[in-house]
Amino acid sequence: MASVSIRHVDKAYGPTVVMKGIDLEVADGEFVVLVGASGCGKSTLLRMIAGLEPITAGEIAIGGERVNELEPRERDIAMVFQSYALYPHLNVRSNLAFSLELRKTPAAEIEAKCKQTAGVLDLAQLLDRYPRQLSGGQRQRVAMGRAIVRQPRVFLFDEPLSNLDAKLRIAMRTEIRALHQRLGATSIYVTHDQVEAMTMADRMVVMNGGRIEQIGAPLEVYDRPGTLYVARFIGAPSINVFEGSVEADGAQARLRTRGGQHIALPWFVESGHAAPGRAISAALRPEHLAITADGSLHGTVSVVENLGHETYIYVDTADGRVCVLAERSLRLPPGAAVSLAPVVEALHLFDAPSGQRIDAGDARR
Amino acid sequence: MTRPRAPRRGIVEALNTSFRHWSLLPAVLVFALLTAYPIVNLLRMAVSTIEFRDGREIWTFTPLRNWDLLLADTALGPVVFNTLVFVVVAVATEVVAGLALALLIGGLTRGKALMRTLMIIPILVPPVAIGSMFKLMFNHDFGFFNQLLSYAGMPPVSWLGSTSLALLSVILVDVWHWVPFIFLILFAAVEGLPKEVLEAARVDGATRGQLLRRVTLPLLLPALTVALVFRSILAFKTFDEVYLLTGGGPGTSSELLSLHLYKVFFEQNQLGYGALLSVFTITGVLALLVPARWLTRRWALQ
Repeated sequence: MASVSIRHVDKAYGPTVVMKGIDLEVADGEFVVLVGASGCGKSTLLRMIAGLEPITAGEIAIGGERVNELEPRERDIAMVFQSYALYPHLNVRSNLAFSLELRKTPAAEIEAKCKQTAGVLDLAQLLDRYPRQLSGGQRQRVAMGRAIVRQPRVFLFDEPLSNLDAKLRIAMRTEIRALHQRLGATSIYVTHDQVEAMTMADRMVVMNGGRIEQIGAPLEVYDRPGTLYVARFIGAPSINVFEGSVEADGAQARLRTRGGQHIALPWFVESGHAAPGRAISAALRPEHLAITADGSLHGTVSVVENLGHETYIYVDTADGRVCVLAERSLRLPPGAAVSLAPVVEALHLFDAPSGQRIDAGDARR
Repeated sequence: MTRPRAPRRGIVEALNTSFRHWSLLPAVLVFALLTAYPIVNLLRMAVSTIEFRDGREIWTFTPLRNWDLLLADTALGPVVFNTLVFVVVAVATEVVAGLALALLIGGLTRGKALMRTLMIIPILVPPVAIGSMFKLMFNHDFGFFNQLLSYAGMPPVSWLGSTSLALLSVILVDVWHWVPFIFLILFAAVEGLPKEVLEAARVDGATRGQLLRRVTLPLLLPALTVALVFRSILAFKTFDEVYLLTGGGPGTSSELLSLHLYKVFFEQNQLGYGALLSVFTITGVLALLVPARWLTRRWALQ
């Protein structure tokens, strides 16, 4: 078990800089999820921690020890790959035993550890099979087993669930979490699936274009997205975004959207944000819009999605399609005219050019 | 008006079926003419004595005479031995060198395509050109190899004229000629290795040596077998290089089976015995082919 420190790490391929100034501290025993769209650099970062990809500048330390110059095998890490990367010429038992054999572990100990691991992951009946004879879920479990069998200091997961079908993915999600709670091993987990990130992480790291957008506990990131990118990326269905400019008259401030609608910005004036004409974006989660008789936003119902425990209503407004979480009992036919009231306290506001969050406390004008 | 359709359709169907069968005829004919007939003829020759008299060929059924010739052929022992030495040494060297090159060039980050193109060149050179070229290079008085030796301060060597070196010189040329073939097969296999599996092994703690021995080589085994089998079969039949470089000499010191067959057929005019010898050669190659096919199929299933 060990902490992982990433300090001012850059990555460049020749003259092309793909990552700049990455800083991340992963505490001992923590489960950190790196999440972002494909191409954001999350897998590259993981591979740099593993030592499979050299870093251009900065420092990576595992357990306080600088590992920049160490080969992957010297870093005492284990990695689970998206393709599982099982050794096709070895059966399950030999796949599990491989790393121990390389370390010249005594045969009796190897046998005991493989048995124990097989027990934990329910692989006991599969030990003599070859990878080609296993289903996707079984391969995934062997890949997990191969990682935990030698008790490394850090676990690295590179999208380990993305090749599984939806049902199995959800089951494995829980299983991996449970395994982590049991082993307490430091884990860094890469995924493009924000639901996976939300459900599994102690802390999640949202990445975009080779930079870290935000680091925080899942609910913290969900409730206070630091940038418009994070707000859009986290949450399903996606957050509703209204772009526009500030209108202020005396003690009142409001956002006039591109579509000509209005959203009240109560605290804007006294906190000094309300420069008239300032371009901002307001974002609201589906649960923070209410269908009422006298809302400030107007539109017509286009699609109704009943998920059983909840209902999403998609409303076409002058600012595009907006998603609203509604009560199940509410029955609206497509085409019905509705008005929507934003929950003003739950508004997320972002500076339009920079995409940075605007809070009452950090007035800049 | 209703037409009696059912019987007509029956006729069409019958015609269809027989047409399908008859359309196989060209393929059957080609096979019979090009493959079956020569083989049957070869078997017939192997049990016959064929003489040319009065402008005619005269076949007599003498199965034992060809066997007697086989047993009396004093050159056969050394020839078979030479062939085995040639196949084992040449093919082993070619596979090891081809594998090393494939791994080396496969590990390059740039220039792969260029290296691959350069490597193909020896395959493109006609064997006759290779023979003449190396005959000059092996020349005792002005050849390239002896010049190298003289620069190193060593006396010249009779590459093709000494009984101890002639076969080795032929092997050297064969290696030069055929390493690229092995390289191409193995290079494709190296390029097709699953990258993440190799990375997993590195993370799991494998050193370079362990990676090669425990992961890369086992994964390359099917391609290695294909290369080995193909090359061995071709090596058994090597003719041009020996014929052009040494003519099998001095004595029989570099004579291989194919060249011996040639001599039996065309210099000694022993058509029957030559046919018997050919049958043995084919059997030998088949004996190599069958287990190899079985092995590759087993690996292909994995």
